[in-house]
Amino acid sequence: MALINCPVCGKQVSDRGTDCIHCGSSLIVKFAECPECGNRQAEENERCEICGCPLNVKYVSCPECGNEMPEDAIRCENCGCPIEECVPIQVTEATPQAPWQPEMTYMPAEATADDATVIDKQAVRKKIKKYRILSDICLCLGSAALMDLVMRLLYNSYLPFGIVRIFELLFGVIIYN
Amino acid sequence: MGFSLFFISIVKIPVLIGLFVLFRKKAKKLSDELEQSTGE
Repeated sequence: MALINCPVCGKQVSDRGTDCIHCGSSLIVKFAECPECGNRQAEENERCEICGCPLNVKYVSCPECGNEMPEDAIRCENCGCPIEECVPIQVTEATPQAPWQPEMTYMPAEATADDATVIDKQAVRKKIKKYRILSDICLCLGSAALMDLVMRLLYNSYLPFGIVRIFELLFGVIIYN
Repeated sequence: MGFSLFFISIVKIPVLIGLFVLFRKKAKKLSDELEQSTGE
């Protein structure tokens, strides 16, 4: 049994009592000191009963000037340093690197339908080009054959020898031995 | 000899023209199909 000071009024009371006999405040409840006015309040209070200052706010120090400010402050009131920028970067654990794989130069087996369509279109375009080239070759050969035939007919009838020889050289056809 | 060359020329002209028409038709058919698939 001993005498203690009441946390609110400061007067001496018994430590076995639950309430202060002078001010009536509870001796069991933990008290917190208001950072603004210094008034002692019950720790569970959110705000100071006298000045209205929030009690359970955690304070942090500015990394630039060391000024103390609430944890949810955006900027330091003293130097204006933005708090978000001063938050240290969290170091995360290094993730293990995936094993090296060669670059895929072939079409993967799980290719989507769009990829298949694109490849199919490319193949069709190539086919079209091939058919057009073949038809052009046929046209050239047919024209040459037609000219050859015409020149034969004309040579036998009207055209002079020299012109026929030019066409013979051009088309590689020997008309007369 | 002259007749055979003449005959070959006569034969090969329609053959080549036929091949030309055939290849052109195939190319046109494929390009139409491609256009249809692209349009859809």
